[in-house]
Amino acid sequence: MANRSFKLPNIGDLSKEQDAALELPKDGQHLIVGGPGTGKTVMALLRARRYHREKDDYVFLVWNHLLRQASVQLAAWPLKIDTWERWFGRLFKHLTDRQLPRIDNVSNGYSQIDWNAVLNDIQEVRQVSRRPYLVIDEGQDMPPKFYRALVDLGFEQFYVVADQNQQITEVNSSRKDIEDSLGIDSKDVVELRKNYRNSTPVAKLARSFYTGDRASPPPEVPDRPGDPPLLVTYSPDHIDEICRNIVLRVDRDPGKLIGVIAPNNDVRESFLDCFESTDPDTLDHGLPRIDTTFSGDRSKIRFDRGGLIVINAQNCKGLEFDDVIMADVDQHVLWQSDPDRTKKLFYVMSARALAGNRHSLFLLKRSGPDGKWLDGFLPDDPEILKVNGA
Amino acid sequence: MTENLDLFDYEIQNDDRPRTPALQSAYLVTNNKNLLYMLSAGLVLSSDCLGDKYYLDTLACSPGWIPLFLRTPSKAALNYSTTESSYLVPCIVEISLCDLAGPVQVLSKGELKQQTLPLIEGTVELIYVPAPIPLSSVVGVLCRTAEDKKTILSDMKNYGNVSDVGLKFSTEKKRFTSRSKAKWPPTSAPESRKTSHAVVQAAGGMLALLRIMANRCVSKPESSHECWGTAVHTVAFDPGSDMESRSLPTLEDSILYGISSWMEAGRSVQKTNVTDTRSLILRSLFWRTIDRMIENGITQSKSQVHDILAEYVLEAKDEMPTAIINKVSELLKDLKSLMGLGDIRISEMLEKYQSSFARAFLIYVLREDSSALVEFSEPGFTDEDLLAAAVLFGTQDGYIALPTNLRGNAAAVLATSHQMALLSHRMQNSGLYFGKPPARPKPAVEFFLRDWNDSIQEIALRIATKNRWKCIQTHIRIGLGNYQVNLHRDGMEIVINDQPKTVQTVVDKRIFLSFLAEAIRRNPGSETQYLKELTNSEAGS
Repeated sequence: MANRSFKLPNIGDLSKEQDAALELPKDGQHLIVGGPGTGKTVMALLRARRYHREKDDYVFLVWNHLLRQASVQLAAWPLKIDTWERWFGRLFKHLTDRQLPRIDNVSNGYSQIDWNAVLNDIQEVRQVSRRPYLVIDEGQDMPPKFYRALVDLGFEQFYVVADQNQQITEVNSSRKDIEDSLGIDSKDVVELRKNYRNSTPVAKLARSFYTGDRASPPPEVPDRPGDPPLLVTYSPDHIDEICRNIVLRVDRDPGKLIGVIAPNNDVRESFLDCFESTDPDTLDHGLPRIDTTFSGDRSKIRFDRGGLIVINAQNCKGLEFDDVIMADVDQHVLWQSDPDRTKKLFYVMSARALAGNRHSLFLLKRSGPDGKWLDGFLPDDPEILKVNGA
Repeated sequence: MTENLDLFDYEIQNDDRPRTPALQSAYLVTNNKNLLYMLSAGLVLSSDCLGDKYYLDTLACSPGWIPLFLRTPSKAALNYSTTESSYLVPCIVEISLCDLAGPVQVLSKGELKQQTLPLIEGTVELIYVPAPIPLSSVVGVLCRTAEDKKTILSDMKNYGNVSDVGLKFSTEKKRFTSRSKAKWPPTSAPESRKTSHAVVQAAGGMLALLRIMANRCVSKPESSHECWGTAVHTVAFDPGSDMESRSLPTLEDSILYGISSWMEAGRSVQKTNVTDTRSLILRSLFWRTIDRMIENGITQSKSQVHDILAEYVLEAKDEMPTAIINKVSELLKDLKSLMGLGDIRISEMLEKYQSSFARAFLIYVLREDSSALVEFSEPGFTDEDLLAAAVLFGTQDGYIALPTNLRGNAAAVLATSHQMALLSHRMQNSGLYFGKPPARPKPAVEFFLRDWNDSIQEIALRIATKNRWKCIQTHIRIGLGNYQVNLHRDGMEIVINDQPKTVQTVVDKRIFLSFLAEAIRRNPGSETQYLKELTNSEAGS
């Protein structure tokens, strides 16, 4: 089976704005903003590759363990990568001989870093002697005081890629926060506007969930034809049939990586069980690789092989798949007090699908009363979202 | 003539006599980004072919033409080529004029006139050559400083489709220090012209893919020195050649038989009617779909290709027997299902569809791009199926989107570039000639299909040994006698009194070819290594 790996872009695939991001001077503080699919991570990886080629000291920082796995597996060179929190924790320990101070109230088994204490503690330590080039992916998810702490410690070389519209964490940085912390003039920020990942219909669907933040404009809809995403309504009694047909998509193209994005753990587990129970004898290539993970889990996921990855919506940001199946969209919660929150989540999920040559985005909805709220939430234009009963 | 002749400073021009012998080189002033784009496209292009990625340079003044300086380019032209962005660096592409022949436009004393290469009047400052020019005519790239050269070479490694064709990059500061005060753009430029860029890119994509896929075609190597892949590549590379002389008699029944005339004209030429044979009708349908894919600017939309085929079947229903229309309609339905969440297995499709026409479209919707085609390994598909799919993918991606590992070695890139340029100029009827075309770049398998002499045997042995392919046999001849056999845990030992009569290590040709095909399927770039082994030896010549 063919390995999936980071492919260098074709020269014609990069826009002039991406060229500009690529050609930014090696030294200094740089911020690149753009919506999903504008090639921010590609820019960050190419930057890291340049440092690697030129034998510079650098580190590529990502938000979480899942993104670390995806980046390290897809890079075709030994990428120096870490999750931002682990890397900063080690640096702090090295400098102070203490663990990162944390705030006591624990939510979901995680206690927040006490950034005021961090900033206070680092005033007393010496400046860092080794200050690598920092390449930061999904920079909007790191807290503003993280950047301030780095500057206080004397770090000077930053290449940050970010999208304010993809914030799905509670403590995060706006474009202005990053500009202010790193001393970047707003006019020097490189804005990536073109969508390189999605086909026209997928980009249009993602755009329909855009919540309208001017700091990070949504990417322009690309001129890349494809079939509209398909909304499949199915009876829960027929979930086995749906699962088999999804497995068959991988069976027909074993190098294909399909991301199945679930609204919650129950749906994730039910699809996982369903995929795993497909009879391998009825497939040409046997049962494909099926991986799963959830918050706090550190299972090894293979992004460099074809197969199925079943994950929760909160974990999908920054990832990309050949096909995306948004499972049981009716089971998401529409936050009446903050409808933008659900829209942002749909914006992020739908934009995970790579520009494909076939249907590359499917929304599955169980028949029944649960999905009533979707009527006004999903676009009703068949050019953007085609509806199909199963 | 003075060395520092100003581009538009007519007072110092002093030589109106035709220059004989012809000038050796002329110079295109451009920038690093446009240069790399041209290397990715496999041709020296005019500005209109660089699309959104065109950075202003000296090409801007004459779409469809390539302006070449005959002497040191003016400072204004150099500056003009880097005005658009601070990260651009100027560079000069040196084009050989030695083999270039045919009508061009020239700028002489501020006037535009037609002349015919290789003879050019001494007053000419600028030649406008109809685009494109093949990379085989490029002598090298001149850079202003060592730092600029480093920037260009380093930038080249940022992209997956910029071929390093062994061009000589050199630093020649004096070419960038003209004292001319001449302005740019020039006052006169020829009228813009069309270059059939999309067709040429599709043709280049087909040629490159057919070449690499030919390595997979090892059917009946024992009985023939040719296989499907090498036969099709040969006729594609030599358009207009006599297809019937190929040693594979079944080729004329194939949809691939149309490739020679397509490569000659840049479009399908065959017309059909309802009384034609099934193979003729399918061939026509296939190549006319290719034409429409190009007209519609297909890049990667399978559903668009499906729609094109559906539309064409509808239009051409009077030219086709009902049985064929029904079968193609059924295929279209299955293709749609394969693109969605259909309950279909490939093995079922293989059983249902036997023709290469149908199977080529099946492969086309099952896989994303040319790289995925080269990696494709589903049992049951024939050489013809894969080669027909290569035509579809070559059209979809064009030469420009092919990663460098599918383009072959530098010789293959240059030879393909030459063919692409020839097709473009045939279609334009420009009358331009670029000299003797480079020889067809044979796929590695072709060297091993013919009867093996000692030299080929030796190369095959070297390759098989290096790659640990299990296709080596050692034949030991010993005389009559009783021999002691010692059994060990890890094997056995035969003790021979005296020496064996002969010891011969041979490579099993059939198994070797399978290993070669599989190795190139897994890593297309490895073909270059095998070709190097061959060209280092007389056997490969």
